[in-house]
Amino acid sequence: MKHVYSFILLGLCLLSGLIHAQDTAPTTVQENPAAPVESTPAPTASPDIAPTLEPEPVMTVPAEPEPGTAQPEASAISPESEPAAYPTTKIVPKETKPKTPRVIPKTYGDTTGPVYIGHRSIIDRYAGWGWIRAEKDGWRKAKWVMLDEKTGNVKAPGRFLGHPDNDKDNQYRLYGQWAPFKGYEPNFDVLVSVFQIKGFELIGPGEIPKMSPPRSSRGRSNSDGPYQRRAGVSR
Amino acid sequence: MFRWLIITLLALSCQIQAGEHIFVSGGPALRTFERFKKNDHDKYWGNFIDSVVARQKQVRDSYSPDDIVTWLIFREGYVTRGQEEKTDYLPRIENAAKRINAKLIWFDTKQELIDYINKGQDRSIIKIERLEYFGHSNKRCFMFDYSNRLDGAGPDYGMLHLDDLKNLSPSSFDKDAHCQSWGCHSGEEYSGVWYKYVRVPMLGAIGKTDYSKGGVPILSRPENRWHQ
Repeated sequence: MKHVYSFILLGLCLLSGLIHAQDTAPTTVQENPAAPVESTPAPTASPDIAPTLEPEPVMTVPAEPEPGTAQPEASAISPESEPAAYPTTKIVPKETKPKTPRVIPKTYGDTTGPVYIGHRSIIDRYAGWGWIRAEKDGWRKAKWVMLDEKTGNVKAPGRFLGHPDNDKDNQYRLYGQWAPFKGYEPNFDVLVSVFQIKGFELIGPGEIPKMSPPRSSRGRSNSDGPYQRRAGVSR
Repeated sequence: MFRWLIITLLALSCQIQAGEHIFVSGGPALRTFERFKKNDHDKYWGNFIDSVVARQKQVRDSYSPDDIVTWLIFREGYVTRGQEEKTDYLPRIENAAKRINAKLIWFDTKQELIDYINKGQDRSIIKIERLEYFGHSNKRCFMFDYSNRLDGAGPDYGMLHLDDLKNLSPSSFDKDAHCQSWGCHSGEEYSGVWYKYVRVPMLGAIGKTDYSKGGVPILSRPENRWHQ
């Protein structure tokens, strides 16, 4: 009879040990850091695998879901099937907001004082921002300019688009002043006017003024040139 | 009386023998401007600083004991690059100057550099025996400020153009002075005009120079060469 009690006692101990193991199993699974960062979604849980051993809840959620894409695997497992201690906050993907498109603000900086009209223009292998004229003048009186973005801490409008050249042929109302110094254009060896921008208003796309920027009478100075907008351009 | 005359003459000749070795460093470009260019410049802020340290170590054994080493550096370039990278580079540069026993002089305009060359020392006694430039350049211009204040260009006060060389006083230089530009393309035109006004040859590169390997710059291609 004593043996019978001993067997029952032993059986109970083993049983309690198993239950304890089931409780701790999800924690050990979560120690694997590689699972949540899988780039491809893993297959869903197989029904013949015990819930205590399955890492599937982690894998069913893609680590980097793309905005707008359906995630059927995530809904295949109900929240009730997950263990209570499961750290759901760690595997829920970040809410990624769709990137807002980069735009040039309609108005930026200090827009008081004399008004100048600027046409953003890009000339290959010629440094500078574009053409600027006084509001009352025509384009014939426009100057090719470099922008001094330091003085007023106002950046060139195109920088709002990520790349400064992306606003080609846009026109702006510009506010600021002529710098007391000139800018040296290193490819054509000439000094050009510098405009110290303090603010602007976007007008929109405009027709490019039919003008050429100044050039040195001594010819080009760049050889290969320190300034290259495009690599591999022959002289 | 005759003995005193000889002693005075000897003392004077010793004074005249003391010379000055000048290194000039331009400033780096801003990454804000350069990162959009295919052939961008100055990924590392200290190209024109480290190269002077390396060069000074290379040539210091040729100095006389009384010689002066002066390092003129375009300040604005390092201030703005430091602001961009949220690091104050000026103390680092001052330490570098201490390491090579050079007297550091910041300059902000080309006129300050010209003034130092012409009258920074008593040029009747202390002649310039060496002048070496480290910085951006094309064949007609040393650009202490390139793509720092202005995108892809520089302000006129931050460059020493061929047209400015007539303002340098040839009498500031020793007749055997070693002048060299470690910038790009200086040997193509700048060296010739330098000699015309300064009456001392300047070694300059035909083609580009390369600072990216660290240390003293090298010619960027095998076909490039030095010319004066």
